[in-house]
Amino acid sequence: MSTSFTAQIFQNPYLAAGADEVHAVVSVAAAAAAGGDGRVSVGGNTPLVFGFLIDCSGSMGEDGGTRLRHAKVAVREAIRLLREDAYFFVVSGSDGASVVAPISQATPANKARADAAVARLQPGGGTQMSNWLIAAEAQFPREPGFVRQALLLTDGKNATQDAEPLQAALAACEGRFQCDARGVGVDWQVDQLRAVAAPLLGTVDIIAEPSGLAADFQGILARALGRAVAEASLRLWTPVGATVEFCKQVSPDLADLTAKGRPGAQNPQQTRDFPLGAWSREETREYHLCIRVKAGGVGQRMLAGRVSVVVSDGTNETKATEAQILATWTDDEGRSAVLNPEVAHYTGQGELAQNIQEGLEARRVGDEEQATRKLGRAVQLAAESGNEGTTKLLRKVVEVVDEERGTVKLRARVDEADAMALDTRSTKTTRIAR
Amino acid sequence: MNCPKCGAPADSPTANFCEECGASLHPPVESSSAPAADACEGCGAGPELVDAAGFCGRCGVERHVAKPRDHLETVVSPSFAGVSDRGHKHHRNEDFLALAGAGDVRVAAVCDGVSNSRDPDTASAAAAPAICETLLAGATAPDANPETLMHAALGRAQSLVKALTNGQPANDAPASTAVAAILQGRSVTVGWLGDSRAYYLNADASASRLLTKDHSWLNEVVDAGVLSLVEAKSRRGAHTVTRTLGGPPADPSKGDDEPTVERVELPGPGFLLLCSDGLWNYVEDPAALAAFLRPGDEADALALARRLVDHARERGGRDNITVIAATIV
Repeated sequence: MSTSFTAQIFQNPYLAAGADEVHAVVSVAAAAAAGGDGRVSVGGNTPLVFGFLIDCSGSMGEDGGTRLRHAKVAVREAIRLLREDAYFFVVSGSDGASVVAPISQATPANKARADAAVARLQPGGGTQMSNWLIAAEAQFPREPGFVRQALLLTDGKNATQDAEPLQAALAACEGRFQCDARGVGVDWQVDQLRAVAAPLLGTVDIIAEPSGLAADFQGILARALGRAVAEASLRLWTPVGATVEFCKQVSPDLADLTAKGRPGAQNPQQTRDFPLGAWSREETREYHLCIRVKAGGVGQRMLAGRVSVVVSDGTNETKATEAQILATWTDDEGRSAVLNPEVAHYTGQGELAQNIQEGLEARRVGDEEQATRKLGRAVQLAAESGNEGTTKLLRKVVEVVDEERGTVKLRARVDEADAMALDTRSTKTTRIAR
Repeated sequence: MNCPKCGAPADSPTANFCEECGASLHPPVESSSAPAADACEGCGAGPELVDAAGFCGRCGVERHVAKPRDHLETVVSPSFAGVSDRGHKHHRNEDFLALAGAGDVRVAAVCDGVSNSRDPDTASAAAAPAICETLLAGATAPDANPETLMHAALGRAQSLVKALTNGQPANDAPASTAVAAILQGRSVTVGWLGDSRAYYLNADASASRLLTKDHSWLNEVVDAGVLSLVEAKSRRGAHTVTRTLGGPPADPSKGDDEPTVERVELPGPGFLLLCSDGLWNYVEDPAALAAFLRPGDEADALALARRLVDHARERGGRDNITVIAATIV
């Protein structure tokens, strides 16, 4: 069974004379290929390779060893969920990394062997995540045609001497596999895990209580098992003389893909490919693109960008769908001054996330005035955009005096887990009602 | 002559409309002097780089594929002709023209589609021929009242253009300006909506005059005493057109936009000129326009119309340009 993609553009194509910035939201929807609907179908049978990277440092054994105990249960239960056509491996990480279950097919025998190995895991040592990633990279197959996903769990901060090696490891792993990062408890650092997940096209989240690990892992694995297309890219053609200012994923959560763009193979000067990673059979993601073009004269019409979704199986490339981003110059301000609702909405969601992150940082360093201002603005933006999830999280950190005006008071006592949850989930956006 | 649309023989040598199918016997013709459109306007790339949707593969600018409507010429007689041209910058020609004559009556209309409406080219192409048809049919009647007739013709055009809307929101509906004239001897009745203009040109430049007054925001605020001319001219959107065929009416409580209709006795020989703002945005002073007259134009109105259009194109051709010239004896 294969997948088809459609891309839809939301934009105001009218620009004032002399304006050169074109904004568009591209909504990419994957759907089960119906056949005969004229759409290109891609993917098919794409087996999953799933890697567990589990923190077994000394801190995981503290507090009666509750964190490691729950982590082991979570991994063992997740392994049980694997379908027989999937592959998996388990790495236990501390200062170094140990492959406790090397890559194998998820047959009952292999699963039983891995289960026993995980049961024997003991805590000890420090945390140097670079080594965990390098060990994982060696386990993932090199041939195309596999969905490659990893799950990294930690409870603490990465060792300072591992900072540079971690950067190098991330650069080596980029494009090789996707990785979701999870932090259990409150002793780890949100921006450290964000720095791991972002280049590896993954998500970050907090699991405050170790007992929540099993459910979270099952959710991650279920999503990985649902991946039907291993590798899709957003290919953006722009005219000569134009520059891509940014390409950001804005739904379901924020991720800046701009720096990941690579020149397209066929037309390197005018196309950029942005990696999108694996896709499930039914899902929609949205991207905010900004292209700077050479301003045209009033009355002129230009193709400012051509967006296509390209799926590669290693040897062949299939263009699954294509859409146009236009620009028409006009002297009618009534047309050019209108903000397209999707673009405005996601610009607001980006502003919301930024205000949360900056507000939390200000709070961390004791700058109460800045924190109040930023988090107040965040409350305002969350309310305006109907982002209820974020509003609830904000209210755990601030007391809301006037939601419309964004007047808030920092709470004197905030559960650290709530502050971290707000931080990690600040990038979750809402969709605009259509 | 035979009807270009249905082939039926014309009623008489001076007939303007086919009695069988109603089509104009003098439809605008694509001229051989149409400008070539090989090189891309944006970057000069050759035509082989155009993609299936018509955009240049190098710079993205919509490739102009020469269309018949890019340059139109109509000649009713050596002393009555008109030219409509896309200009350089606009991606299509949204102006349209129509002219016809019977006996000693001549009628003409220039319509300029409002760019910011949807499908403005359909508005102007529907309005101009319809206006001339109504004017000519009525003007040849024995007890014709030109002013009443002009109101009727522009009213009919208003209904026609509004019908193009097809139930879509009014703000976006196709809209067009119109300037039309009934010319009999030296008596001319001019009717207009918007900022397309009628001029009287005389070899003695000082006798030349503008016969219409634009329905523009600029004029309305100055006339109402709200702003001085200097102040108003400096405002953005000063030239926004306030009355049109189709589109949202200026004052919804008062119904459709009303045209202004005026009857003028022209002082002597010269030319009646109808034009869209693609011309007068470059040359608007009546004396400056008169400077373009050359001896011999009375017998070659087409040459005069072409000369003015070419001048606007040389000055940049930012907009579509339409000029109709009629010799007055």
